[in-house]
Amino acid sequence: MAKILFKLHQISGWVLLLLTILFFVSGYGMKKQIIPIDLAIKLHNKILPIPFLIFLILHCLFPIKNLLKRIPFQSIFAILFLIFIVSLAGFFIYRSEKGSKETPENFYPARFYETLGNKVVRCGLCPNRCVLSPGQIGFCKARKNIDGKLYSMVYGKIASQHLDPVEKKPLFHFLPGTLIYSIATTGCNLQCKFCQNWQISQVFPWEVETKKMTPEEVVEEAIKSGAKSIAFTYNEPTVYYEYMYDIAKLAKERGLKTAVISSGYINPEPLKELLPYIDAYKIDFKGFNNKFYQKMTVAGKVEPVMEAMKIIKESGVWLEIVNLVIPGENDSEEDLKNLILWIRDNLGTDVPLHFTRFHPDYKLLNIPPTPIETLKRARKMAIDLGLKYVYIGNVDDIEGSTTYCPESKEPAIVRKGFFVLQNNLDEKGQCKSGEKIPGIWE
Amino acid sequence: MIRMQEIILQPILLGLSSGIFCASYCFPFLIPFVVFEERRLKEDFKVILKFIFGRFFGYLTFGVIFAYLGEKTTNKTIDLLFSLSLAILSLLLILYSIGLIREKRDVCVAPKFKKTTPFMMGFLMGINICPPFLMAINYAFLLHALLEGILSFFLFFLATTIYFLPLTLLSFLNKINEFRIVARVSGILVGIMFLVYSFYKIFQIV
Repeated sequence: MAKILFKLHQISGWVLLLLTILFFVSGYGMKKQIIPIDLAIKLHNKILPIPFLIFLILHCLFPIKNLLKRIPFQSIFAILFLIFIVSLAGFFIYRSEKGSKETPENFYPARFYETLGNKVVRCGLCPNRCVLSPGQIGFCKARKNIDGKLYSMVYGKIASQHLDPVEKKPLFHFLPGTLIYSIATTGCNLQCKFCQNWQISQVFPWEVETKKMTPEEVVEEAIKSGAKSIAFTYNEPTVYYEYMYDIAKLAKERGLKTAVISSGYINPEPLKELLPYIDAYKIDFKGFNNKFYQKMTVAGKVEPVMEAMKIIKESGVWLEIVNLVIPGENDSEEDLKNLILWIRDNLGTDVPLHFTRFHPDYKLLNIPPTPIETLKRARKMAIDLGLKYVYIGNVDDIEGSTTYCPESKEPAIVRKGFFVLQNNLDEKGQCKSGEKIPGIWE
Repeated sequence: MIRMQEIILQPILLGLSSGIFCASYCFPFLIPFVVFEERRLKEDFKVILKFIFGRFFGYLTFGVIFAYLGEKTTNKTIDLLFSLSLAILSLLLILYSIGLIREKRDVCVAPKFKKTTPFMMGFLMGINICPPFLMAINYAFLLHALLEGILSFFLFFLATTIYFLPLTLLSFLNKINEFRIVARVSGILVGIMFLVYSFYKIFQIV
């Protein structure tokens, strides 16, 4: 036994040294962004601490054994051992009880669901239409059936808040050059493999730090920040529908504009109820066919997204569309053409379309970033097919992010990155030539 | 490549990262069990292996029941099942700690039953599923392929098991009399704590 412990003591010493080096390297890499940030965070915060702890314990076993042999206070260590075991048991009970404490008092009554009998409910917020038995949580990780009633687990729990340039959303025809107060909770109803906000969108509300804020506090904070509008963004806003609805309603009363940055995976009924309080909707139209949605998301379909876009357009709410172009997945001539033609024929030529560059993220780390040429090709194709406002995003390309007056071809708004370099439009969105560019300008 | 990552790498990483939680659920039962009888290292290893095997069997039983019954099982039934298994587990630990079930041959209890106690405890622990296990089962279902699901679940289980094996090294503690006594006391205390807790849960459900 002593020999084994001694060998382990030696080996674990070396392993600890190696792990310490790795720990510092990943930490330094994370800070200086020398290695991919996600990999560094995963390595530094999640993976390395566990073996480190194990090998540290293994390393300590031999000295502990020797210590126990030499000193006469074995009973003290034995009592410490007892305390440790009982505390572990206490921890187990605490954890179990903490989980069961998710009572309706902590949550907010959800809307859009039907009771199927035997306390089973069917959520009607999004096309997933989750059927939930008591105690079950929806696919979105944001709604829960408690005793036959559906509750939102994320109402009032902000997981992220920032003051962003509106161009970052991207919304190019919506109050250009202004700041937008952006908020998010946790959860998502699509779970895309390329999600760029997976740290908050793919988790339960108790898995990340959240800040409790009432809708009144959010609106107050937005006004104080100097923002002209509020964005429901980062994770999928549909999953915090009730919270978004209350904030949007209040924001309207206080003179703020509102924007939803969404995948558009929402049922018509809740969408129609929300739209009167929304000024702009940016839809992430991920791909034109179901094959793509089924491959890249867990359960998504394209038709509900198309339906949502039509409803938004018909309602008069300002609509912009983003298509993330992923090499080898949705960048073929046929895919892009179908997408462009569908937008042109169903939503019109005035709807801005943003082709954005893919960067490896979340579960899609093996695909390279989109070549800039592909984005330029897509933009040209869209313009040739009749769309008037086509942009490319996630790249530093002034031409691809400039709004042109459709007839005179004069630059109306020149942007670089998320910033407006030049705005030649008047307050009503008119070019010097008198052409009116659609959008929300004041 | 992505599929390989989903089936092999993800469950292993999931197991490694959440195994510490699995372990924190099982350790209060397992540690006293290892320490309160003086055994050789090899024997302790066997005890832990039996426990792990029992745990795996418990997980599988749970998975099969769920796969078969699906939504026919209500949440109440499941909660009741968990609480009952926790009560039996606690009782078993108390009986073992006060010496009513012994590993050594005894006049009162047949040896066959005694040897299976670690397995039984592991099995009951396996039925008392923990959140990481639920996550793994959920992940396996999401793969939409039976064999791949089983493989990924098995890899998850193996990865969590890594945390249990070092417990064998606690064997040196069972050579010290004070620790054996304390392990027995902690076994009784932990058993009582969980027995009370399971009754509290059962009364809540009923």
